[in-house]
Amino acid sequence: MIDSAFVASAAPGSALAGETRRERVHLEEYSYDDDIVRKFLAVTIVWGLVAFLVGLIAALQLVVPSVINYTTAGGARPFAFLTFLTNVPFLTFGRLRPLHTNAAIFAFAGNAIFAAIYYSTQRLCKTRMWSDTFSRLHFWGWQLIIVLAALTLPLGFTQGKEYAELEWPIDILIAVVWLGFFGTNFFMTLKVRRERHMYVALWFYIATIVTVTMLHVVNSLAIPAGLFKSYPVYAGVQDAMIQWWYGHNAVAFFLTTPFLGMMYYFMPKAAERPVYSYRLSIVHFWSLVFIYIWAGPHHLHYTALPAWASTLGMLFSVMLWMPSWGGGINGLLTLRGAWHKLTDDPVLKFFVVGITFYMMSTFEGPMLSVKTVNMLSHYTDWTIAHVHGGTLGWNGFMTFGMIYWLAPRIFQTNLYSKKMAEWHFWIGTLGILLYVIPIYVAGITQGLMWRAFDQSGALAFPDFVETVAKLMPFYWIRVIGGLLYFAGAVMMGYNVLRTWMARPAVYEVPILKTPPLLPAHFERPVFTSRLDANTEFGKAGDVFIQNFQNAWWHRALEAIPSKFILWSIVAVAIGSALEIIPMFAIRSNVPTIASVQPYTPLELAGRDIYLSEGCYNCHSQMIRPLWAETKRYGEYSKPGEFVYDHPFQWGSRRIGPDLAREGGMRSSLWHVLHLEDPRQASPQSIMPAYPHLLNDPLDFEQIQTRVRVHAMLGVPYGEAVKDGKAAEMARTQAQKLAAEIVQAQGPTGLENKQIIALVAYLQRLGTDISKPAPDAAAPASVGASSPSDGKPARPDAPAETKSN
Amino acid sequence: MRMSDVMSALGLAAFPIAAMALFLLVFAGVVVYAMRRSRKDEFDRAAMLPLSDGDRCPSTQKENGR
Repeated sequence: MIDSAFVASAAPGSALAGETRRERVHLEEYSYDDDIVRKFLAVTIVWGLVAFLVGLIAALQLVVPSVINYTTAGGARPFAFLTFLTNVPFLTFGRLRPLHTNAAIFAFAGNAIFAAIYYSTQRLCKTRMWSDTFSRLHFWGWQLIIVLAALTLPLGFTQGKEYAELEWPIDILIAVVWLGFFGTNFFMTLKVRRERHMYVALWFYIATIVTVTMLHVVNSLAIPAGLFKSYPVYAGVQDAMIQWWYGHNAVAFFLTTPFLGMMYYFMPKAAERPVYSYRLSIVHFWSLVFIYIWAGPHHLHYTALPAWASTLGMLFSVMLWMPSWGGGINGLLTLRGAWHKLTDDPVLKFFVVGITFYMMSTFEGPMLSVKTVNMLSHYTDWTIAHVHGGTLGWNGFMTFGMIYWLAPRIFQTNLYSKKMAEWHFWIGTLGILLYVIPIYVAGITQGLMWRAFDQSGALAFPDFVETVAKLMPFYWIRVIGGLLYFAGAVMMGYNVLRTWMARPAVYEVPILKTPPLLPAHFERPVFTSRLDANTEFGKAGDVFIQNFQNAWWHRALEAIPSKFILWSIVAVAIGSALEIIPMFAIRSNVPTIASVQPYTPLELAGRDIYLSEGCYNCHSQMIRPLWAETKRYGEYSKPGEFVYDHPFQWGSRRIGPDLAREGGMRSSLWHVLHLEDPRQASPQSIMPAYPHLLNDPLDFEQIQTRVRVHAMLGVPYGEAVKDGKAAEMARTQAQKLAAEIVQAQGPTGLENKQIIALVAYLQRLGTDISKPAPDAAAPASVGASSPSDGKPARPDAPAETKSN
Repeated sequence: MRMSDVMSALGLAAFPIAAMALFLLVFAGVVVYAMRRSRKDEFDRAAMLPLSDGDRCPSTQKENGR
């Protein structure tokens, strides 16, 4: 066996000096840890099936309410057995939808990323992972997080911010596992690598780890109010800004950059040729890292976010289009001269369609971020179709392609059935099309219906539920599409299971040999000016240009991962800081409104129920300053109205109507009946029923802690923070409200039930702005503000808002 | 005087514009760097990295299979 040899060193460092050094070097032996890849691959499939199944159930929940009351001529209700999908507390859409998104993003895509990173990083760095123990801690820690998420979300423990719902103890665990175990292991592996050049896939992984850490920590800053309850330190506009800076960049740095790393590694592997243009991949990387971080505010067009921030978000989003397409084309053209392989290789089929969906989504994203397009698309299913094109097409298909490529290699046998993989590809593709096309149609249909006026200038569809009922056929087709996609994934699960069952008795672990990486030696070239007659300044400029052109500094940077990491941090942090700091610092961005007061203790408790039930998944609280919206919902929302909202609840999709001005629109009794069973108030409604809210007792004593946490965050609660005061105030308000409901011939005994708090909150929403400022009125302290007499609080409330 | 009074007076609203100009310059720099002819050999070699998993020794180890 050879343990040392003459090796021609071709490290960039020596290429710089223009020489090839021949020297006697020791060859180091090592092997790759593929066991960890096998582990992550297995859970990717398992959690993927869970995520798709929960999505399928959620899709059913949007159509089932429209048929459960269907009665045949004989009086039978053939679909009544499906009622459990609409009224079992832990199965309601508001709780399952966060479970679906979290499972799809962090469990399915997350574990797929880890499988890709553990397989490719070891091979690109020509070393085993730095620590096998850290790899295992990462694996088991991440699975623990997923299980905790799957338990807490259906139970209603949530922070109420999309894609960041998990409560604070789990958030801490995520930070520890992600940076402590995964990040440390990855960066230490880079440090002990035996290959000088860090391949572009590794750059994408670095950006992923660094940025996700930053996003997660900043967005999750919260003050606990118990083990499973916390309030974010930000409120209203600032919280919205932080949340969508997080939300958008979670898409960028969790669903895009690591998958691009995957593309840049596995596409050349599967095509058996290098990437089309390495240069383009460099431009692709730096453009994405610099630009993506700015684009978040495009989720908040025409909201109470200042216009400068939303315009900036739009501009950077449009700028993203070109680098994204450059990268996509780079991936596709890797197949140059090998397109014939597509015909009989399911792996390449998945990759090509996956990259095509990447290009479609990255064209559509910038388009949707243009304000005038967004005016129509925002709050509609267009957004839902867009994200599913991205996740099912891009993330899903790239992952499936990778799994089919990896399975025979890491299980060291042949794939059980190539034909079944081909079927998976076609069924999956059909599933995506049947999902996204109807949902595009649904989104545009509903968007147009919302803004349609008749000849007299009144809303053509004043009843919101009309615009929802219209979507039912499209929602049914979506169920079929989702079912096909799920069926394809089940086939993959079976295929990989059979492949695994055919694994050898013992896995062969090849021993590899590579010379160690010698310390980088950079001879910084010394330049003299090429100019004869010029000023000293001109000559200095020429030297600078030569230095820049030589790019020795970039090689130096690249050779030292810690500096490369530092630059990535600088790129994303500067972008974030420059956009976010002015939002916090400049007071004129959030003009305060004197009449806006904190929620009463009872309303606060009601707001917590609103969060816990996930109402924000279907109801926005943000009226845009557009005629169609002010006509339908009332006065547009002002930034100053949300200063006490920890967290903000602006929402992103209106499956139900906006609730920003719900207070006083309808009687409290209507709300009680509507929450008990929405279909007894509005027959076409697809909202889940919440009968348990009429029975479950309200924990009045708990309110005190919650009020105090708010006071700690700067909400002026005054008297209410004193011992027992919050509960007392809440009881008084609850009794008053319950008495009004009884007076209106409603159910009795609601004064200590959860529903009373939720109704109090709903009756408060958006009413402060039309009240006199506190100095003009009696001391309008907390506790005397809820208009619950059923009359519109504002005389100018438009008649069209009465939708039921 | 509160901290936010000070911050408001700093004229930070110009930050995003300045930053965008800065970032455009950085982008131009990256393009110039990536497209330089002298980098070709280095990039060609880098592009081949995924296709080489390292040189194998004749010997292998065994690991828990079935």
